[in-house]
Amino acid sequence: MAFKKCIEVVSQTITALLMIFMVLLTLLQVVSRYAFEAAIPWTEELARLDLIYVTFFGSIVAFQRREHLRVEVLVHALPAGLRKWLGVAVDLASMLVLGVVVWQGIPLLIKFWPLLSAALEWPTTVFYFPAVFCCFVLLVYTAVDVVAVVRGTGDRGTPEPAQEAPR
Amino acid sequence: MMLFLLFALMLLLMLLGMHIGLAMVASSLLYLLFHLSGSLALPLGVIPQKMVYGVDSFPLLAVPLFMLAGELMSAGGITARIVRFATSLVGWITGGLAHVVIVVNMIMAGMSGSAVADAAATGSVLIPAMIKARFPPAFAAAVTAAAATIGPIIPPSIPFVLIGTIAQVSIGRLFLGGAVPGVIMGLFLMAASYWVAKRHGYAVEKRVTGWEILASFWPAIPALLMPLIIMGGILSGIATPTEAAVLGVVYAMFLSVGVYRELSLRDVYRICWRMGSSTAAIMITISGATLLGFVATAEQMGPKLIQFFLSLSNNPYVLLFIINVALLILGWVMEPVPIILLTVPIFFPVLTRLGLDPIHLGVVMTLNLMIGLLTPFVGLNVFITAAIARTPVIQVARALLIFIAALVLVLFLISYVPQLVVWLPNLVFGK
Repeated sequence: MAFKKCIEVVSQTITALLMIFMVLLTLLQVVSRYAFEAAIPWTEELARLDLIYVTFFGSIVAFQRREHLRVEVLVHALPAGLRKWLGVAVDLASMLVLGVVVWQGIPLLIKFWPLLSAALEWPTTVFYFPAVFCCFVLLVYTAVDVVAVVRGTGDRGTPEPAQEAPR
Repeated sequence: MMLFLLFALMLLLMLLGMHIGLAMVASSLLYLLFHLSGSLALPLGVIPQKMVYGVDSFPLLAVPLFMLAGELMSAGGITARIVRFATSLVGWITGGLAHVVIVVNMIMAGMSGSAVADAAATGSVLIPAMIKARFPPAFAAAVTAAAATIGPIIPPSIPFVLIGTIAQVSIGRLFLGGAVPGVIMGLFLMAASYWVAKRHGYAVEKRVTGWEILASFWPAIPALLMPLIIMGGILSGIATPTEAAVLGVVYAMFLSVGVYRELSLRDVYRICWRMGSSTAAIMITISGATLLGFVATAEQMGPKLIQFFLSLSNNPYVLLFIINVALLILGWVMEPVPIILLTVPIFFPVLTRLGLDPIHLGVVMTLNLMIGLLTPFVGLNVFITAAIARTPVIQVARALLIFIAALVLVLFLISYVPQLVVWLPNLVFGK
């Protein structure tokens, strides 16, 4: 459980900071265009990069919160025993897919290193890194889940009630 | 044939409970594995490449920013002030608080962009109030769920940002296109509540004087300014929708932390990662859909589907009817975002080629998918409001029937009177 808790805290912190950074960047873009009468060339690219990081790091948070979009009509109709093993099978399939992304992503990261982005002139690798890294984290996370479920110690968690809006 | 297998596999994985984004990647992966050699061969490296490419977009930045602005507003004490204003405005009409719910949603719609967020925000305040005023809990939950569908139709709107980005049409125009249909939805829902309330004799709030309306209007002004800031920014050409969204975030921060002091910086931090997570849930689906779309293009999906649709009919309005029915059915089992991602690239080229305005189609599609939020299975709005009202979902579903009927009526009205949608954007932006 310590492993999951640790991932939870780190991914939440990163996601929050990325969101704050996103607000500041886009704000800088509007303000610079009007106040300084000169658009800063790199804000747009950096903001897009930020969105890519939010997507993949936020995805880890969404995974813990069971917020990812899925169809649950059929799954809920199944008896509990069957549902458990179907869940394991789907998790294994998901791990396979995540594995392919990581396996195919790593050579891409190396290949893209010499290519520089248009405005920031950073290696394009930084755009692809979060996809590969976060798919790897999700892979491990799912594996830990599957092991726990098979052993019967798993708490698959229940989806958070959505009405629990911060007040 | 391969194309059919590609989608069949994806649907199967989805039904078995795989995350929708991953199911799209999985079926694309299988397709690529079958075509590792041959003339159409694509390296597996396109998988991570297209996944990142799909979310590398400046317009899509508007999604997290609108979510952030909406959440800051609704958590920051704005809702209560708008509720008071709406109560003095329409609370005395037969149907009482039901009308208040609808009007609050029409105003709040200008802030958040998400129906589910609206249902939670207004429901937690107004459903208990309605139950206290002796409305049946199921009716209270039903009217709240139905009213929340107005949110994504009146600008700003997250579905419109997605449609505008995917179909390459102006998000500003889509925003304006939703304004008139959104008001019509509100009026139809109010008529339905009036009718139900009259038949069952539900309570009304007491009538207030003009002065009292003014007195409740005053504190609501800062909240009412929000849509003006966002739409004004876009329409005057000062800001792109993404930049207008960030102005909304700053304004919401200023109000909820600075003026009303209902949120601490700690709350803001928490809202940030929560909305980052909600953003990711949408973006990962876009990521998978981009890959799937790329594979489907390699398989010549576009031309094949256009041929298929044209074999059904040449008349855009007949096709629009077919599409509406298809979407209503899809909306039963799937949420709006994945449906938009899957169907916009299919429906838009066909219908715009037959002369249908893309803005019209975008608004019709979104309204259609919002009705799906009211059906059981994935009807998130219903689950949320039923939970708040502590009523079985099935009773809420029964009370919802009349509201769903009203919304379907609006759907077909705007489908066949395109002027209701395109008049305003054409007036403001020119043809």
